[in-house]
Amino acid sequence: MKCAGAAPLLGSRPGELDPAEEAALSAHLSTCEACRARQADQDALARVVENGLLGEAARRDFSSFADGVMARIPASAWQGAATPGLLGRLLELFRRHRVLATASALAPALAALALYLYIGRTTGTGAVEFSVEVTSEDLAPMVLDTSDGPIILVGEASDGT
Amino acid sequence: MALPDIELVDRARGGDPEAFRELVVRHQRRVYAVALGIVKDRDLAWDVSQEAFVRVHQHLSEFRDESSFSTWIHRITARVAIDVLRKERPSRRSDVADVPEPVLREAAPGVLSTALGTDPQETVLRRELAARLTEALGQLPAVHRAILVLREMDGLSYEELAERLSIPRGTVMSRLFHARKKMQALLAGYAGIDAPGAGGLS
Amino acid sequence: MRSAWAAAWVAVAVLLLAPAAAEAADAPLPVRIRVLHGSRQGTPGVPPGLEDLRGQLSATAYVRWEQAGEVQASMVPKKPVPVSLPGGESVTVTLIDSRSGAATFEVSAPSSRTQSRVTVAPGKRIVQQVSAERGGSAWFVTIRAGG
Repeated sequence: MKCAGAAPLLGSRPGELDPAEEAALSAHLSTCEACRARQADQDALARVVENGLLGEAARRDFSSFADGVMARIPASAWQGAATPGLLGRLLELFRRHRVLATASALAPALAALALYLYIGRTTGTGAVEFSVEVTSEDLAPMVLDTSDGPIILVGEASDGT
Repeated sequence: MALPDIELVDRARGGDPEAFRELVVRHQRRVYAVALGIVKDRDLAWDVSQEAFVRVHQHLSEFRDESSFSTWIHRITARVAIDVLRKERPSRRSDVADVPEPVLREAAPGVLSTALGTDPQETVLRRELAARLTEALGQLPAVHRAILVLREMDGLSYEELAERLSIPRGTVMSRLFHARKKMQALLAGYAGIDAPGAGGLS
Repeated sequence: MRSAWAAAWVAVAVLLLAPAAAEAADAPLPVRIRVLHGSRQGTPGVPPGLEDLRGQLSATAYVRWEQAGEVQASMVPKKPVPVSLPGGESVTVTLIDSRSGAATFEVSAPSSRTQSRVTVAPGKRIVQQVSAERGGSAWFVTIRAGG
């Protein structure tokens, strides 16, 4: 490995290099004084970026900052804000699927972990048209009633942004 | 008694504005620091920081407490900052795109660490360099700046940076290298300890 | 960093045929189970084999569908039928009860923490999501009794 190959490896932290890279870097550093010096330069400047930027932030008057942020958030955003937990994700699911669940007699269990959902509908004669019982520890199930039969959806994995 | 971030997040999600305001106050300076590192301009950084918190509020329901709240909001801040840069300079693609750097004349290896390590004025020198840091950062291409800032402020690993910025790990490492190299050369210059002429890497 | 339960769920759509007579409850029930993949991205549409589901699937936000597997089983109550998903996971469908006018199926995926028990009337299909959505797509199973 030459200096040009070693240089990008110099700023790495423990565990970031794979064994081959680690070995090659060690081997190079043991024979190259210039790269050892470059490593020392990097170490010396550690935290300079952070300290420099935080120093700037410390010098600035932030007394009006939070007011500015709150002013940019519309009042309506605070009402009915996303309810945390399963119920929140259930409501989120309502929003995401274009068809609203009908007969949504949601009976979420109030236990912290479990959501038990029962939806049922009977015909005029009392015969069961469909019923769905879902028990979930994490996902927030939702049932869409279509003329062909029920669709049971679950919440989203936390693949957010 | 100070509530932990996650507790404030839960309350803010439930519609409590004061809890959210407390989060803002707690994190405003670091968010500003991240924004400043990327957009260079102080007023723009102020604006970007406020906008970042608005986005944070919009996406609060997506935050999962397995990760650190500050790292999460810094990511959002970086995204807002980079978007703003792209909008402000649509024609200056060289600022945003990855332009191959000509071989820099770097300061002789080791001069900086020597100066910072053994110089009796070391603390003064460090403070001076910190003061000119924003200036030095401003000389980097925007993308290099963003990577360096996220690495330094949040300690994001190569993997995390690669994922966040959708670039290969190798590109992250090489950009960090170029960013540091240029920063070192600039800071050595400011400190008057630059000894150019070392030439390129062998 | 992401939630542990983002396991593949397969939506099981079960179509039930109306059992013809009382003793049909004890007779094995032919059930057709299909594994589907629904995605928000891509060209909207269903392949020819899923044409019968087009209307029902259009109620969801997933626009592009593909079939990834099929199991045809003669089901008797309490005997679980495993349905394997691409990727190695497995969903279990169990007939709980079957009588004139309705049949009840239980769907569970060991790697997720959700279990459902669905009763449907004759002629209806169950479409069940069995994986949490990731990257804009999810697995489903559709169950129809009667084959």
